[in-house]
Amino acid sequence: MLSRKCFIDAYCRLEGLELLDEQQWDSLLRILRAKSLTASFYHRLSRKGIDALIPDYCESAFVSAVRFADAQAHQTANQAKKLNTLLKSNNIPFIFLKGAAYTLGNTANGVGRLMTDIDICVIRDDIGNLENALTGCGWTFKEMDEHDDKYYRAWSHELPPLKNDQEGVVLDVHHTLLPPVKGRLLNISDLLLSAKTDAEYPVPSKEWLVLHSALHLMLNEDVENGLRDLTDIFTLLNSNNGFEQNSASTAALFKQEGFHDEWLMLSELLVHFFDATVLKNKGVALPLYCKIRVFCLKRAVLPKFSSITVKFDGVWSFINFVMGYYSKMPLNILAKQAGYKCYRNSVKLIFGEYFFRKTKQSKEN
Amino acid sequence: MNWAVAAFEHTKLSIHSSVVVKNGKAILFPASSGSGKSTLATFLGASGWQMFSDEMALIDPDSLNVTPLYRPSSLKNNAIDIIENLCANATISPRALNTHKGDIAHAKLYSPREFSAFTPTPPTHVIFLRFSPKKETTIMELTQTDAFAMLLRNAFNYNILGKVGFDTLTRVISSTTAYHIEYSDVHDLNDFLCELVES
Repeated sequence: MLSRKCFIDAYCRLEGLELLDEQQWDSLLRILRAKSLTASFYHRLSRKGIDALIPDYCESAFVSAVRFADAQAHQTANQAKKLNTLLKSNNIPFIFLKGAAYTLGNTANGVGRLMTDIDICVIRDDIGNLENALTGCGWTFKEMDEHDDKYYRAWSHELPPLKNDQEGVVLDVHHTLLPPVKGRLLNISDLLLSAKTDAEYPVPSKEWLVLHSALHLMLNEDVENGLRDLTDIFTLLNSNNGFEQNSASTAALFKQEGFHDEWLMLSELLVHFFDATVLKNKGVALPLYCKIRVFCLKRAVLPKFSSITVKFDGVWSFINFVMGYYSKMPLNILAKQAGYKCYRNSVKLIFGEYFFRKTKQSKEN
Repeated sequence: MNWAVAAFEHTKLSIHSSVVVKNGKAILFPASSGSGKSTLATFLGASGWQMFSDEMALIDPDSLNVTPLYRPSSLKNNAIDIIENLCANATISPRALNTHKGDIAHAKLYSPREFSAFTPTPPTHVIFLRFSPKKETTIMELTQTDAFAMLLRNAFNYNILGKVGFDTLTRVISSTTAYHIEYSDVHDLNDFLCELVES
């Protein structure tokens, strides 16, 4: 049985893999596959020079995952090239974010990492021009109801997702990194300027990549991919200049942008999962709210796998969900949003999954 | 299970195709869902051929051998009655009625011991079939270009394998003969296929 400790040792710290039996490897592989982490895990083992620990009976699963990830990286580069040309020709400054940024920036965590869409960020004033440029080139907005459209445009930090059916790609356009309704604004010009000028694609600096990933994890209710985010962060901090120097410059950016508590919470999580001893508490006490959040996050980011979860994990995950939602939205909007979602789900439960779609179609006819 | 193999197995080129083997020669029947792949493969599997798969050809990029898959064939609607009538030695599961694909039943042809005798085998023929009731059997040899294009349309992971996928597909087409066959009588078709692998 793959216990919680065994999993954290094997997945996060790449330790104890030689002790895993066939059943534990099977469990580990199931988790990695469910979380789309198989290829990136293989590359992490490879960088550490211990990929030979993968037993023969599951090697083909890792090779397959690596091939799939390579194909996706190739496709991402093709799409990035097209977007780069389109936005440059329309004089719209932009920068790639998250998975696309890792892949295009050749960061260590980008190797083998899968993504479901391409994320970019532009200055808010350029949104209109960007929409025109994209919709003129085959991009369309994903269908959504009036409420969800308002959610994105008025409250959120991004446009409703765009899709290009011909290319089979989804694009998320951000104008900042956090929902502006919470009132915590970041300097997006600095983010755009952090890109290396001689790089082929505009990609944020390592510090901004970590900041964005951390905010995505901690100021959010959805931590489904939390462990992947933490792995990204740890790998980014561990690359090139070394962990100590990278974490010092990243901590400075967190502080500059007003996210010092988030840096402290992140440090706790990295110590817990990755044994990042450099970040061990240096006498700075976390506020109670942050302590509770870290406690919940430590449980909520773990995969929901029978041998890993323990009693009350569901409770902590729920508390994390509420705290995460509250951290990105003011209470009045949160209540409105929760009420609306509750109403929609109740109606769907009674009248069926496609009730709203049918109602919309009959109105249009 | 078939979905899981198609979605996660990329060490081999996977093609939406049934596969039968005789005399150390594999014949691929690439086709989309609902075209009768499983029905024909099950019939042949119960008529002296080894049914490697009713759904998927997994081709090794190095050796070009097709891997046998130990799965029952999945029969839908009328195909269940057809196989019940034609293949007395097949074990057929109870029917699952009114699924989103209609009525479904599974046919098992081999015991694990019988299956263990199956070994990876190189393909020698690629056959695109069309069932046309009451028509005479017609056989047309395809050019390599046509066969490549038609096989490509049925490849699940060609795009993922990239150059390896292209090379594998090219080598499969170069080392096999491809036909388009229109048939109405499975016994007639079986006779022709036997001639192919005996020659």
